[in-house]
Amino acid sequence: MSTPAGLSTQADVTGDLNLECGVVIVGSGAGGATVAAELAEAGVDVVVLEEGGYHPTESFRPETGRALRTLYRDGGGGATIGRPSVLFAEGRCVGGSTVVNGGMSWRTPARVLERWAKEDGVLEIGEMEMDPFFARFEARNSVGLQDPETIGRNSLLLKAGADAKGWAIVPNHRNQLHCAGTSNCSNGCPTGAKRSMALTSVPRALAFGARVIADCRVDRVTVSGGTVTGVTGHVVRPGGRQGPRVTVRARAVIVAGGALETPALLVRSGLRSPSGKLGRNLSLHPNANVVAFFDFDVTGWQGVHQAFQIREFLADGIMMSAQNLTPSMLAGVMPGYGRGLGELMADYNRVVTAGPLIEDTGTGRIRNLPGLGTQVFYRVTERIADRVVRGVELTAEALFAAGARRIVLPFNGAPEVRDPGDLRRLLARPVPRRSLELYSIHLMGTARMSEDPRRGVVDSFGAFHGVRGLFVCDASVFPGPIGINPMETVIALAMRNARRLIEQRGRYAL
Amino acid sequence: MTAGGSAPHLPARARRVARRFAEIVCPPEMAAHHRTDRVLGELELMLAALAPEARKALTITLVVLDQAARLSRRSRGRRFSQLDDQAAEAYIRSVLASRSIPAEFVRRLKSLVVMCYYELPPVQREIGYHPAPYIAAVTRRRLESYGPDIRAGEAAVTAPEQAGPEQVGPEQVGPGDAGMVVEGGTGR
Repeated sequence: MSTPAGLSTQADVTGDLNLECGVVIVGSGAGGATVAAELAEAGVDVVVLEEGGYHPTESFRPETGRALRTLYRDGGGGATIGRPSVLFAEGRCVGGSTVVNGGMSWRTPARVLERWAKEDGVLEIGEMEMDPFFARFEARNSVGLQDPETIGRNSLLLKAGADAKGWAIVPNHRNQLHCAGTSNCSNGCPTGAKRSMALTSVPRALAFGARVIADCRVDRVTVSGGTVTGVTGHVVRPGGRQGPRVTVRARAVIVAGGALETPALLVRSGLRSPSGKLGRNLSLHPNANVVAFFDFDVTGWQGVHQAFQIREFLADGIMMSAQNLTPSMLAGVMPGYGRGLGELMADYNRVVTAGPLIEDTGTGRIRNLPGLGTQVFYRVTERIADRVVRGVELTAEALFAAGARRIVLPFNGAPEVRDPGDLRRLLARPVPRRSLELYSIHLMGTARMSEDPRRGVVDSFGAFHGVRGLFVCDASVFPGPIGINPMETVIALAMRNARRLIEQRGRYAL
Repeated sequence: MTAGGSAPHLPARARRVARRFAEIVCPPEMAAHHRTDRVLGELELMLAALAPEARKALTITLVVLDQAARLSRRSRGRRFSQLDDQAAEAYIRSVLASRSIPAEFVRRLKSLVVMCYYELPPVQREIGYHPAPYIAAVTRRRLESYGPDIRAGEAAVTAPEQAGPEQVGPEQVGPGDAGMVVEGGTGR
């Protein structure tokens, strides 16, 4: 496998590695890669350290197990501690989660930006200030609507259901260069149409002189006298074996490891926030799968992932979409087993899987536990559970309106429902909270921003309160959930914060 | 596991329980078509990719599942891996219906095992999922329909956004800066 010039993998490193640079960036996902490209283009000497491997487009195939093992942290098998537990997955590879997400690209809702400004004390975060960064990302990463021939029948059925109910449904904006509609987003886009960071900001950063080291886990951020001095870590060999040590001396450190690994790294490094918020305030947009069976072939794997979003209930914290699951993923969420599971799965091509994404509250926390590593605690409150149940009900109503004959709900132990009356009867009784089957791919808020060090871990531009030269640049900095797909918000904030750092480069001798 | 190394095998006892568990939770075609070893192979690869504590928890779940069967009336003191089909199925049905914390681990294990079964290409073909020809066809269609636009978009990735004294374009990056093989060395 050849790698781009300037990008090294574990195979290239045969001994301990000592580097010096202006800025070292931990993580190459939406935040890290964006800030790397911005700084490198401005002439800053940048090193990016990425824990995951480098995987080119040619290696992406419709093999879920292989993708989970190579592109995701811990095989995509994360689970929160709490009842119910929420399964979660995040990317771990060059490009981070942008390699395995659906590419949904939406600007931060104005109401959210307003809340961040008014309630959380974040400066220069209004629509006027953010719009240029959104526009820049959208232009550079080909954000647009799907070519019509790529929209699959599963998405069209959900749209038909929403239309029948009279609900607002919008075509999705995605960062795609004429997406072919392979429905393989979560295994890595096999055509390269999805403009993940691995195909955009990482090569851009490399082209402007940045150095990227894949398979490199950062163990600690080093600080001396209240000023950051760099990072230490190690190369990750195949099978997770620890390889040579890596030491990077830098005048600024930008941590962009995602809302779990960023606080875990900072705490591991002995850093504390006067706000007490580091690792707290986790929200994760719980999702649930509603599986509907139709009388005819839908063949949901032929067509783009999530062509539309139902936005009728956005103000209530509920958004809905259809996403095809591969056979193995669908089998994993189905309630049955043995012969019964086989009978359900025999109708795989007649299935539409859809579900709600819920705007939650920051009830989660990240903790480093001795012997257990980084663990995620999350409490599904009554309010969140009510929203989930309501979102499931609405999704099922739309699918029945589209002609579904029976629906499997994401409530452990619940029977199939065969019509809206069945659904109403089932939901007339409370759904036990711990029976909810939830998952998440949006983790946010564990190093929240605020100008006030008593309220936030970082300031309005990602600078860590109390440590000079240390920045956070990922969804950790969100003061709260945003209720929609977060990638564009992460990228726009990264561009904005990079601009600020470039303006202040003299302060850090960059 | 970052780079996809070889999977450590389950301990023999846990593997025996995993085999019996797979025979119960996967459709009967698994055993009929002699696919059990392939499912277990896939399971071991997946377990190896999980966080160590999750891997350990699921391995312990197998052992506990095996032993706890002795407490079940229909088992008459036998372990799960020793039960006949009918008793094993009844035992698993009761465990999966429970809302206890150990049952949650068993449900997670069930999800993982059936995922492994439906990851097998012959199984996918049997339910009508064969994406490779479709992907090849739509990939061709994309290139034929939008080739020039795609090439322009890809070329824009490394183009400087605006000229300025602080900016270094890709053409100005020296050959010595490209690539980086380091042996106990010191970078710039």
